[in-house]
Amino acid sequence: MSNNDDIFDNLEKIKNNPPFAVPENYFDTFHDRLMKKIKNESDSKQTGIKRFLKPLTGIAASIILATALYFAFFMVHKNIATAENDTILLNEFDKVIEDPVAMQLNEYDLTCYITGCNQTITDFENDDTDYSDLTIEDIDNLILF
Amino acid sequence: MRKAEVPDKKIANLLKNPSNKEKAFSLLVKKYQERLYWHIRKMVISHDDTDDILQNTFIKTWKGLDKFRGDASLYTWLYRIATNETLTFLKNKDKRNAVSLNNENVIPENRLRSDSGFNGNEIQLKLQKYILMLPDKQRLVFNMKYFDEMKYEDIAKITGNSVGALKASFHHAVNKLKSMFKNDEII
Repeated sequence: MSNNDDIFDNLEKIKNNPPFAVPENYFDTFHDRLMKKIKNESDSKQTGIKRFLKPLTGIAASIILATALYFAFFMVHKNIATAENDTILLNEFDKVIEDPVAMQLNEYDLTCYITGCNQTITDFENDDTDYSDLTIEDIDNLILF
Repeated sequence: MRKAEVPDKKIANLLKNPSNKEKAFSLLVKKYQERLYWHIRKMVISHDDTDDILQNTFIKTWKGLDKFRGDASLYTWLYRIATNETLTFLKNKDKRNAVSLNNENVIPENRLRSDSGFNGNEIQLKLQKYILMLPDKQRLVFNMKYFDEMKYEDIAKITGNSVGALKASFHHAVNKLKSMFKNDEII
């Protein structure tokens, strides 16, 4: 049996030659392959950020679009309603001015017509009530209410 | 003829200017790729695994270059990254093997023989087989001291162990290997 201490001495001769084969040109091409991988990782990282932001951009765009559509619809609807109201008022006015009786009405009658007071001048003319003892206050109340 | 190596100090100086980052990194890779390859290969045996770990080592180095302030030497820093990557790989591999009930490659000799890249003689096969039987960290210390002929002080900086602990670890590893050779001859 050989001395065990000699084993490592014998191995000294071969220890600097690792017993493993390396593919041909491995070390010559390693640097280029590594740089390519680093570049790819960097590109995919940027793509990853874009991929993360893309749905957020879509959501933001959807919110802006929905808000814009809501306001656009609201404004159009409001304008239509205003226009409709104006048309109704104009029609009412046309009715008044085209009426031969209405044409004889004075300012007070028109005010009564618009504000809805029930008494007209003719009511007073046909009224037999004696108003001679009315006070100023009574007259005010009669006119205003 | 081998090209003259660029000194670490020159590479470290280049790194101070961000516009030189890529140039400095290329010099670093070309200088250390072969040494780190063998440092890793002796631990994991397979060439493909070594290639993956070596690439990861340099990718981590590239990412960390901006933070490198030159407190440690580039040599120590690179070896530390490579060592950590290797030990993490082996730890994960052990876990996978523990899950797999019928993995023939757990046996060291099978691992060496299954690797088509093994081209040593019988005594080298024996030595590698016995080295593979050592615990990972003891194997690491043995490889760095015996094959790479590193100083204990440098190994201590790389592994984070004390010089005393490393000496004891190496001593244990040598005794175990001698014992394995002895038992082999008796059988």
